[in-house]
Amino acid sequence: MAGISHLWGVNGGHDSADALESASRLMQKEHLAAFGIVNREKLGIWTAYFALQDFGEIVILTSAASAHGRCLLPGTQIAMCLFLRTQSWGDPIAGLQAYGEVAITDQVNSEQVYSKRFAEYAAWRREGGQSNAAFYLIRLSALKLVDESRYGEEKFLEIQRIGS
Amino acid sequence: MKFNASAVNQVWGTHKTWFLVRTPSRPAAWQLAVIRERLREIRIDGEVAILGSTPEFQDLLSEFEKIQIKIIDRSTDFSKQMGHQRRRNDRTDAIPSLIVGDWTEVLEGMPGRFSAILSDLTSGNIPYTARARHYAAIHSALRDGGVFADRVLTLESPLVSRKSIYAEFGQRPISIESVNELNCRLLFTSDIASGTEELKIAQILETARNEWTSDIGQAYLEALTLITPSNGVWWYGRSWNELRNEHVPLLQEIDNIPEPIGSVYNGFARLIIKRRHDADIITNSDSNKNTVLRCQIAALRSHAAAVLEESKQLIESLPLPDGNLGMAFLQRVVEKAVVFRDDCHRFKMERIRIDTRHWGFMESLFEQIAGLSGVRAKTYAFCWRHQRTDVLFSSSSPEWKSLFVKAIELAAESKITLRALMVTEDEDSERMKALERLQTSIGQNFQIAYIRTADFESTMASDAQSQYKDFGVFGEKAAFLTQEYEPTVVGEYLWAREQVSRLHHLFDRMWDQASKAQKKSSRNIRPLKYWKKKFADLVMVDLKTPVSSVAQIESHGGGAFHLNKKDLQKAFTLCADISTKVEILLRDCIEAALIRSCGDALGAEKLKKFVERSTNGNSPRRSVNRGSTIRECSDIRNQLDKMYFMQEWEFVEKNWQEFNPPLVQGEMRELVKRVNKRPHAHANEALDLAELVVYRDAGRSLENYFSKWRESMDKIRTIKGCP
Repeated sequence: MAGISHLWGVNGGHDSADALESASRLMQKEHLAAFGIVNREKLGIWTAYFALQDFGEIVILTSAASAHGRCLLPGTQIAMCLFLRTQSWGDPIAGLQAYGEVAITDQVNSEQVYSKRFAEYAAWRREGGQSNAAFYLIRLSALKLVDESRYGEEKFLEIQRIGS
Repeated sequence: MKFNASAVNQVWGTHKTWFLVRTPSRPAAWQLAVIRERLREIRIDGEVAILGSTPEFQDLLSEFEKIQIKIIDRSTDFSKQMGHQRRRNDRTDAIPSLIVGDWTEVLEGMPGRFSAILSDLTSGNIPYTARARHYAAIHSALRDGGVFADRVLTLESPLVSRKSIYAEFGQRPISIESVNELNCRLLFTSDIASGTEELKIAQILETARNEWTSDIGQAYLEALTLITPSNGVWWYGRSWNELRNEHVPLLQEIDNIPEPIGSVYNGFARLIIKRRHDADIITNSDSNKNTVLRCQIAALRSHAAAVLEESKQLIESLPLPDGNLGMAFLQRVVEKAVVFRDDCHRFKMERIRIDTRHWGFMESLFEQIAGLSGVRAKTYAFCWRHQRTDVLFSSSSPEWKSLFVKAIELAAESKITLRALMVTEDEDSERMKALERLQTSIGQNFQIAYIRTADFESTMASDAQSQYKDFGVFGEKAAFLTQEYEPTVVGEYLWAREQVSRLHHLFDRMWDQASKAQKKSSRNIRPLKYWKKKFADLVMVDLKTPVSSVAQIESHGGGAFHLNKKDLQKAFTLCADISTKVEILLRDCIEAALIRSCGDALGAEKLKKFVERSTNGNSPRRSVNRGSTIRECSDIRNQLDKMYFMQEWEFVEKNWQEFNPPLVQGEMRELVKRVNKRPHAHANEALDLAELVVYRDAGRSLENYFSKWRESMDKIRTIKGCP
């Protein structure tokens, strides 16, 4: 994370490399997240398995024909919410909210990234998969991270992309 | 039209998203493979030009040695960006250099400089009115024998409705791939700009924005400018039928490959490779330096006559027309393929049958031996059967002589040791003495010994090798067993260590029982070139003999012919004719073979109807050789495209009622599979198969003769200072 930490800024005087490492660890640990969009006053929310292309670049596979899929045009604002599914009430909480926009996707490259994380994907695709499923690349611009075991109770770190 | 650098920079210098551009807007792998093969074939050297800075071409050319890559580009900024798109690093001795300027103007200033010029979809940048001058500049910038590889947009198929494109893409997610596809289809295969010959991208986008108003439409059109600069202009709109005769007409076409099925440019683009062949060599008959030329003309003429004769026989033996659809040809190809496959199989078994065509191979073996260490490893030991009446090297096998010359040169440089076991009854003959004197001049690295034929044969028989005429052993690496010398050299290479070692021992046994040639006194030692000159029969004039030594040979009684410029030109024309005929014949045969294959799938009756329908309305391509009406497979492909909606290769459940009995889905699928088999390499396939047919080989060797002949003439021209 040290290599890209200069591209991200963190509030509260925290070390950005440390915060990115924490966020990245969460995203490695958990591969299912909720995504939401607002498009012309229409709301959309859905869950999707995701893979990381680079830090801050998320690849999801979803139906292009679905209500939300039809809204996923390049430039569309998108929010993401991720939490560890193994948490119990009362334990230190860990999770993040992220915001970004849909970027123009390289389907071939995205497929490689995705199938690397989800080994079963290749077999699913071979057997026919879902004909209208497509990859979407989401480029994050901001994250809100909570990792109580690391930063203390109810400490929310705001991470902003400051470079590209 | 004057080149305006700043205007060009405004379009391309500001286009920063080329990394998002994909095939077919960039060269595809099949296209690079075809060009690579051609460049290897003509052995490019010297300067090679790329029109534009296409990174794939830069990568391709970096595979070749001894070339200087010249990028001709109008925008420095854009060229720099292209450099970042490359996948290979340059060797330090072959870094491309950039010439900034207009292609036509730059090429006009560099006549006869390039052995190849590569271009991918560049012609759209050139106004129709400027193309004749541009193509003339390309012709003049190529040197004789040089090639021009150019992919062009051809507008051969009907334009599709842009509304259908909007509807289709409205359902598809926006991705780099879909934006690229939309770019090609909307701009170049749809009716959005029909009627105009100057595509102004800004205007087209404006039209599209007004028509395709949905969110996704607007987003797609926004993304389109990442692929094509919105302020660009493209000259496009004339059909290929109008343009084909203007496309570098002075060059000879050697490849014309339509964009394959599966590509969005199918029916709209072609890869065309042309070669410069000049028939206007100026020669002067008064110099004895023209001996090479005379010999080569004689060789060329006899070879051309042989090829022509062979071609005629082959043509007569191929009952292609009259509905036979090339069955005989197929059988021939299959037979050849079986032989070839068997050879390959044997190759894997470390043994391969070879003939004259493979001799280049042996020279590389020498190079390998020369690079090894140890006396035994560097020794080439060979037996040589010789009759009193024989010359040392027959004129029908110049390759054997050239191999020998190569060997003695390496021996003279102490890179290898030669051991020649002469199998002869006549060790005192003049020719043997000549060989001994040559040995003396080379020294310890060339040893000769004599063995009687009877002794040789009995020893061979004792080792169960009596089916072979003789053999040679290349270090500890390989061995060669000769099966016949006439009419052509045929034998087997062996790589298996045990077998090579066994032949080594056999050779040593014979060498020990042979009588060694005595060394001559030192006053007879002369340099190698002296012996080359002195013994014209040992170093005969052939296609590889340098011009400088020929004059010396002639002064020692070499043959003399009268050079006749008309003969020369006649030979040239003959060559070109044969080459073209062979090429056309071959392509017809391949097409016929593929159609025949379709016939196997559909049955003769249905195929006949299908072919009739495919070619209905098209002018039939007639075979130059026989006036046959063999159709091109592309007709069938086009018809399939029309009939079949092949979106993402999903086959619609449907019978084809137009035919009676109707075609069923299985038949259609089979037909698609056959005509679309290896779609990227349709022409490649022709060339691959060509390796297996006799007349293609003949054509190839003719071309080789031709180019070598030409090299010699160039040298003569240099010596004589001819223009």
